[in-house]
Amino acid sequence: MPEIARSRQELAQLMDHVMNQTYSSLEEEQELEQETSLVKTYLLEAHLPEDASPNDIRSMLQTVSETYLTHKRKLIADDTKDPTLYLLSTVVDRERVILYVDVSNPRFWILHSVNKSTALDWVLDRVTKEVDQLDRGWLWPELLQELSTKGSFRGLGLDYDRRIVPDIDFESPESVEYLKLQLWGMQASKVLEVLQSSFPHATTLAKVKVKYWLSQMGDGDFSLDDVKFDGKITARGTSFQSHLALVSALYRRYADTIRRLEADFSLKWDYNENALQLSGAAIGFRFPTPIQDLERFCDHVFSSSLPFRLWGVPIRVTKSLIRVPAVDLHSSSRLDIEVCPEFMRLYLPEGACGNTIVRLYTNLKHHYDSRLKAVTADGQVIF
Amino acid sequence: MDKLFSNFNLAMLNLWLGLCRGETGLPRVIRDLGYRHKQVELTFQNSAGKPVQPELIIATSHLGHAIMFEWKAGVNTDSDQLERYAHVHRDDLIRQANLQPAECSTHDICVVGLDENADRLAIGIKQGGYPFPLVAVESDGLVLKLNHFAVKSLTDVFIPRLEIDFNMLPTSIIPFDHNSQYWEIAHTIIPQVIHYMASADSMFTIDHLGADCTPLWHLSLSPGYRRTLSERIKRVIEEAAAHEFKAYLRRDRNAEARTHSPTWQIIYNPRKQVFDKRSADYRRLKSLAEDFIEALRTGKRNPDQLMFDFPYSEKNTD
Repeated sequence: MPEIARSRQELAQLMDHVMNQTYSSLEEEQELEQETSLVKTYLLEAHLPEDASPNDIRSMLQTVSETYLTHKRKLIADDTKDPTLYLLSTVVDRERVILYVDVSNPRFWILHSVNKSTALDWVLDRVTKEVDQLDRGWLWPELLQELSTKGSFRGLGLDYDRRIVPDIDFESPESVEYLKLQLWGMQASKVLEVLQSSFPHATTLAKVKVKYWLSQMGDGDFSLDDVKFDGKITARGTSFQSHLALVSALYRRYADTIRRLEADFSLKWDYNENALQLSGAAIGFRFPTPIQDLERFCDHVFSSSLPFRLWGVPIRVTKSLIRVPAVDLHSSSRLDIEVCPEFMRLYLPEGACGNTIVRLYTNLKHHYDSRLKAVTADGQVIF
Repeated sequence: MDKLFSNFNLAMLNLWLGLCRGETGLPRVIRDLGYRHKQVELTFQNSAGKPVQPELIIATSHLGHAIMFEWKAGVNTDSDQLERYAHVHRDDLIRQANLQPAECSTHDICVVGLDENADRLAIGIKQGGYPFPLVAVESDGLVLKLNHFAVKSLTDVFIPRLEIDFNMLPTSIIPFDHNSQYWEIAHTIIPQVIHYMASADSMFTIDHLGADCTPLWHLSLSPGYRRTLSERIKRVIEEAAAHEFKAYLRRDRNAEARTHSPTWQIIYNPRKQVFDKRSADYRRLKSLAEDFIEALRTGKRNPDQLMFDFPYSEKNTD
């Protein structure tokens, strides 16, 4: 077994070997061997068109490799035998970290690694902060819940932290400031139902554990995947192919949604010499409970800071409406947002990135109200 | 109520576009009747060969009905204009306004004005004997004050009124026009400049900025319209570059021989900084933008910025 894979086939063999080795260790000894780690997969969205040329992809990887992770540490980019598979490597805490970057879709990248989470998470955090053209795939709660039905639902994580957008009085009796929970077991679905019923605004699905069989019969080789809302997937089990199948289905669904957002909701003006025609709809975000303090809400959401990364100058236009022409600092896309107590209208200009919408939607669910709905002009739910 | 509309014509354009588009927070009935926006500010000739320029044309194939809108911010109608509208025939709408035959079996010219001016506006319509519906903007909705639409189901929408919360009108579909105040223009164009920075652009022209910020830029409207719009955008950028954004923007007159448009260099770009410094820079830019817009809105500049004369401020009329 080569230590470093140089082709897709070698990658599959290496990952499969690691998964099986890990699973045996866990099963037999209830702990991991010293040198063993779990397979981790990260979904990243590159600011490249899906039909980008190999040169464009190489140029983007060059940008990534020229970026300083610390004041003197960078990533090294290497080719493999496969033109759509690259290696990124660096050293973290004296451990060599290797990421396999699958760019078969130039926009929707899939990264695999078997290094430790602490090192990998740090590298991914640095890269997505320093390289504006790269962002995580943001997996909204409904998508995670949908994924949980693809196999056997074995666990969940909830993550709600209102302190990021603190526009309410946390001393009030009904307020929930912070709700985080991890549950592993076969009762995940039932527990989720109970919490969604009791604390609907604060029960935000952040992680699901799914046992997934490659065979539809529910037997044979399988993967046991922890899928997190920030696009990180940790895999155990006996089959890397099963893990890949789940990841591919998930990312296909994500990419379809991004494409639909950009196709249906980009404002496009057509001009001829004496007339204007407009196509593309606005997106509505509906809040079940009205925003109590519009100014504070907008100050936090459009502060240019993580997790929203939206630059904007909110100005109150009327007593019920704040207008925010904004810039997504990740994709550099412009967007216009109107915030009213019960809803937001979002206008994406032509060419803007759908990732902006899913990042805002997902993070508002995690930091404001889990019941938030995104709707079309005809009232249909988008996510 | 007129305080709601610092720019009545722009507010009506955004409202009716929003009603047709089914924007969140607006009544859905106009969209549900099948009305969709067709043309904004289209100039075409009536059957007598005279030009008309409705501010908006909407139509529905469900009802076979089209409406040409004329907003009236003031108290008077223009008799010559109404006469020209009266000579718009169905063929003109099909051949020149690109409507489908099924969208204009019947059509109306709808005059929309403020409620306090409705009586005066009605006089002009009545004097000409025109069947044009007059819709008045009241504090809580739209009311049909004179005549009726060619389709009853639309007339019924305004009886007793189409309720609208004017505090929640869309403002971003067409964010500003040549009559907008400087601060309103700045509120849209400064984020566009930040977008140029975040996109690593090193310069921009007024032509680019205008085209990127308002769709009205592209229209061949009345002579001088584009010039007025361009001049107002240029003044805002000049003011920004002279004060709050002095460290970021510089006029590049040498480049103008090539660009044929007033041109500014971006002389400092946060994008080139590492993440923490970049984030701090963007927060600083946000603060500067707030100061700048407030200065244009109130005529009072943050003491740190009192370096130059301040000729372009306007008192807020809201």
